Amino acid sequence: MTILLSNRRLFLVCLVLLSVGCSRNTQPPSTGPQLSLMYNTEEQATEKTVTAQVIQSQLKEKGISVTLEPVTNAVFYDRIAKADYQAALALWYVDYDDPEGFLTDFYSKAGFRMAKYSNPTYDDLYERGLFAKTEKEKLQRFHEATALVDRQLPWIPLYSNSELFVLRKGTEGFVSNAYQYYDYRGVQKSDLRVATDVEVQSLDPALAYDLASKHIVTQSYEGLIALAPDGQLVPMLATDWRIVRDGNQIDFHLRAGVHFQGKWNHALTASDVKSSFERMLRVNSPYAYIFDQVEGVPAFKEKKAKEVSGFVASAPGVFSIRLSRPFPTMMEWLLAPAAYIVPRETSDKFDFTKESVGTGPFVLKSWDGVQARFDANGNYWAQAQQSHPLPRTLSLRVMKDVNTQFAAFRQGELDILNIPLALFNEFLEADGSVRPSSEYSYREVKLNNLKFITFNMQKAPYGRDEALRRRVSESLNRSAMVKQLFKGRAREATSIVPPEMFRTNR
Amino acid sequence: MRRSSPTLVILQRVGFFVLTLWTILTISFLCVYTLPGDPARLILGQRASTQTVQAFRLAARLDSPLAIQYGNFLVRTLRGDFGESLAQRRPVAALVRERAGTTVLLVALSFALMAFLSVGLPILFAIVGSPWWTRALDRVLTLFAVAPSYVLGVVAVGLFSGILGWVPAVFDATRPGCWVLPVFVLSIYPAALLARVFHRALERNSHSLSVQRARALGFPNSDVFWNEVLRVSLSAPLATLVQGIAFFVTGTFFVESVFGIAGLGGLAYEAVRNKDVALLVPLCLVFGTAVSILSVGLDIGLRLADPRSRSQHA
Repeated sequence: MTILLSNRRLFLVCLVLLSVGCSRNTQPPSTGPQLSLMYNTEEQATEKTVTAQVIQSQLKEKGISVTLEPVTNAVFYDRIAKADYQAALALWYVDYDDPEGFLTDFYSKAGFRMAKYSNPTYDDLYERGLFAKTEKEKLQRFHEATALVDRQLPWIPLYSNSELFVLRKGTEGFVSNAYQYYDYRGVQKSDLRVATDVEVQSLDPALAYDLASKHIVTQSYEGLIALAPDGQLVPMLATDWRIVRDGNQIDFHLRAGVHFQGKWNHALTASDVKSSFERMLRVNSPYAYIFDQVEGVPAFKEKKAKEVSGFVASAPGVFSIRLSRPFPTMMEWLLAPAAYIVPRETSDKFDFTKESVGTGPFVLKSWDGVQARFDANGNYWAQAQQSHPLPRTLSLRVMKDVNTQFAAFRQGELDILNIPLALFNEFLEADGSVRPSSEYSYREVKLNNLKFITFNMQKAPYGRDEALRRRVSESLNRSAMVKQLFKGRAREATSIVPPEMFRTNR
Repeated sequence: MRRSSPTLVILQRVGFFVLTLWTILTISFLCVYTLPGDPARLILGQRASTQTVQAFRLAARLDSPLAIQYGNFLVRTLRGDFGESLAQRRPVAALVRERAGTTVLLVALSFALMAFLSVGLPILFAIVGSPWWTRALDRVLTLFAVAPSYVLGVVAVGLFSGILGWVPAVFDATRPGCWVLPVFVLSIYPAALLARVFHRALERNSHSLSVQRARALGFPNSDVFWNEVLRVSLSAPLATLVQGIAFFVTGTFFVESVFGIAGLGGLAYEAVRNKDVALLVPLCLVFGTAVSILSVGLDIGLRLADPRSRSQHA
């Protein structure tokens, strides 16, 4: 019977009935203007629907009447692009540890702009942060920009959730960070099976944008630097780096003895790095913007130059990025999988679903659209530094249905389960404590993402009236929301940037 | 009735088939292209710069007028070139080739199971002469048919894999046990509908005038059953099946998604989500062609099975 209760439809029906039942008792007269809240039913449907309903009932208690508008993925983004919405429930996650990732939406020259917010003071702070001379100054400016947005509330922050993993015996060596990079190198179990709950778009590192693609790509490919679980930038294919010429240039020393997998089995050199970055720009990567501050990139994008003058392979083991002005965020942006390194022979149309050619710990054996099978990379450069061998095989499978995930985990066909919201009841007590087991252990990883309500700042009354938005924000009980939805496995958000991202110990 | 020459009939049929394909192509093209949403933005995400989105639109020729895009698409399709998926950036033909086998096998197995449950078993029971079993079968199938395939799929996985542990939850095409649940889920609903129609036709036709006449003339019972009851009764479920063929196509969307099967249904779902027009229109064409061929095949079967629709008897 438990499995039926975890079925997301039944779960939703129960919640709707509950919220209707509860709201019957207390119905203050509606005072503020009607608020229409749109949400995407094709992205984390359970969480979105339940959150929207909780918001609706919480605001109703305070006299604000909310209409819910569930729409499909395509309609959601179309209406946001056309500024044809009043408010929307949305999710924001970033691939690198930098406050800029959350601040871009409010910059009036940015690409998409959900909130359609426009403020010259903000633009100035944002730009001064982006082009600061030092890391410290950058964080200071970004902090001021954040405070401004938090005051004017184009976004009402709600919460940042956690990933809660159940790890079968022998998989405790699994490592992940606040930006959903999954590292299986340290796992003791020899044949490892894991899952993702969303579709995979592309196995080309330059195009990997969604979480599932990133999950697969990061097993076979690596970048110059990486992010440790404690938030530090650590060496990967570059052993060290120096910022020179007053912040206008970054020199990377490449690791010796790194070889690519697959048919172009040669050593990594600076020309591979240069060609990887140029390839990424040529194939219209979603991340093509990360090199906009590099010397010669505008000319390259307009096809006026055959190569990017700012990517310099001065020696086989030394690669430099020349910037058109100081740009401290460049280092964090290099963490994106789009900046991972492929051999210089890789053509723009190379089929990454047939084989992998990176420097990473796992070699792709097959991909059928649903399952990726990997073997350990026998020549992996970091093998000598590890206390035990890599898992012999790794299978990564798309499992969209929560019941299938649960059944697979129970049957022992899945070694690590990232517990979806709909299965919280199966593993957690009512107070949020985990149910102990002799077969598996738990791990909670706090994510630096944000669930929020965005307003369309061009649309009256809410978009034009700060006091109305503040009233909505103050009417929400985030602590109840986090308890009710996640059994406490999330952090209430009071700012649009998770405070952890303002660490200055780098 | 004036009989036309066989060549003319074949030409008519081929012409009609081509017309059908063209209609499918045009309608799916118009539907897909007029859906809301910009594929470039959906595929590249919120963070991509305006410049990148523009370059993507240019490369995919999304900015040219609809009529020109339609013309280009028609010409390319006639040459057998389906182009490249916008999201996956791989040739559509390769994607379809990789995924079609699994879906074809899934549909074929489900079709066979459906035919066995709805027609095979009732015939068997009729021969054995046990009307009680036919009624029991009818009730059991109806019980399953109240649940649509996506609900049934979720419940079946939970029960048979999660609680009982009889079949693996993770689909693996090389393990026969993995096919049991998806095939069962996909076939049970149409099987129940068909069994019901067939059962009623059997009952009705076993008391028809021609049956009474044949019995009165002293033909053996089995002859009467095969020639007078069964042949006539088959036409009703076949006709239902022709209309219900599309069910299998939409059924694969849910079943492949619930069980995690790498097939065309799952591919179509992804294409819809991203509004991947370059993949979606060829997929509509593939599904449409498959449905038309199956329908035409069944239509011919229907004519052969039912003596009333054969002209020489007239």
